Amino acid sequence: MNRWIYKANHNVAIDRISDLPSEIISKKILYLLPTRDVVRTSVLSREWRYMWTMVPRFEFHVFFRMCKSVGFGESAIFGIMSRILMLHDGPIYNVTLEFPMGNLFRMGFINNCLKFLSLCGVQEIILHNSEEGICEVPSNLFSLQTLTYCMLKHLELSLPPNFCGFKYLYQLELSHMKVDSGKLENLISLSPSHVARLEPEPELLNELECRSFCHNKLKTVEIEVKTPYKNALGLIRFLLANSSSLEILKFKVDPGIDKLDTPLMLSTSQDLLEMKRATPRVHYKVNEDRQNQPSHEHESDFTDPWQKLYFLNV
Amino acid sequence: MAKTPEPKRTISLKPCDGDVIEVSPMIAKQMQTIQSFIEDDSFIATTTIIPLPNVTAFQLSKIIDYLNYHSNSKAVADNVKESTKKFDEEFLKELEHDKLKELLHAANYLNVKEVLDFLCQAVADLIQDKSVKFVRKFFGVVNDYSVEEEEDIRRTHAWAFEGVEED
Repeated sequence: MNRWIYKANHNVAIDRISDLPSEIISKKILYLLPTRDVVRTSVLSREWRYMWTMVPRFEFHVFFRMCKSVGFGESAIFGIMSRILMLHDGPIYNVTLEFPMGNLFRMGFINNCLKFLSLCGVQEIILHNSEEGICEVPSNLFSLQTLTYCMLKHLELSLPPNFCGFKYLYQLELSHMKVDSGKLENLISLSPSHVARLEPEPELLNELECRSFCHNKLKTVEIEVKTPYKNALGLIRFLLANSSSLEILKFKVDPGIDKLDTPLMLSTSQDLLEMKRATPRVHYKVNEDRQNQPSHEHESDFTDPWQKLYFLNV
Repeated sequence: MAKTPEPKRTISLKPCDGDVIEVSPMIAKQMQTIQSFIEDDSFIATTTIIPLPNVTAFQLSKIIDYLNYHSNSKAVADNVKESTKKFDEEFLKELEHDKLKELLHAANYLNVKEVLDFLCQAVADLIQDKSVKFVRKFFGVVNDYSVEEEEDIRRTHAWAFEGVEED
């Protein structure tokens, strides 16, 4: 980056893609943008025309909603997406799909996309069912054998009978998921995941109890619950009893500002303390006081004073 | 601590304008370009001044500021994130578009990943949902399409242009 090139570039067209090194643009900046913005760069100039096809990321986060709002019909939306997939060139490492997956037609389309993506070496995926109600995880998700990160939202976890695990999975996040007993155990025990972040539907949580886990690689578990979190304690007991390499269990209770329930808070603290007595290898720490925070923090950093964090270090 | 007093433990960097800036080895280590200098056999920490003809004093001090702040707040408690966010916002507020791009060049030249990632995110945030005209101007791209060609591309990817304001 010589300064004279840079200065000259303001007035004269030079054989450069832009003011910035093209490697920075194609490998870093475009990678951080939603696919819509990336595709739009094709109109900047001839050199940019096909650059978007090589960006190894698909980000369809609000895509469906956005297309709907400007008047595209459903088949048109699926058409656009298929075209984008077909025109793409090279590997795709990171995928975000936020789609309604409720009926057979939609689910079929998502399954087709996933089938295509399974040939692209996807490593990270976020699959979010944006429809009311909960439907099953699209079965082709399990053909993505290179996954290291998997985040599922508003779906029901169901595993195909021949599923033999995500071999490289490192982190699993389940948010507002319906999980029947046995399913989560299977998924975790088949995949060597190190981190699990669970944010279950409170009313679905009790289904998680009472089955023996066997996930000896699990090191970090984060559980985040809203008000009715009594059931979460069962899950914690459970993880403590069955995870041999668990190092950190983070239990975050966030009842919201106007829903403070002091007795419940107190009884949770008590329960956790009891748990500590029952399991001597647990180091229990409640992180709730302001004075525990690092000294360079200021008062306004506390947005929600009722949020408490419980750390259990095994 | 009763340790033997060490001679000089900082690395001297000479930007293209202004005086020599001293940085701790911890910070210097994060700049890959400097690191490869240091690893070179001919490097003597006490006397060698590393010249940086492509980096201005302003850019260098900005990068050092960023690294200093972020290496001090490595603890990842939730409330630390808040003040880090504030620092990052302030950091970017002082940068106009041209300054931001020049700083990106400098970070790229010094090969300091943390700053580079941060600035790329800043650029991405800046151009997201922006008009073609804005993005062209930001990157300094000269449009070499004919009117018909441009229309054609816009029609092909009409969905990507829906709802984006033209200015």
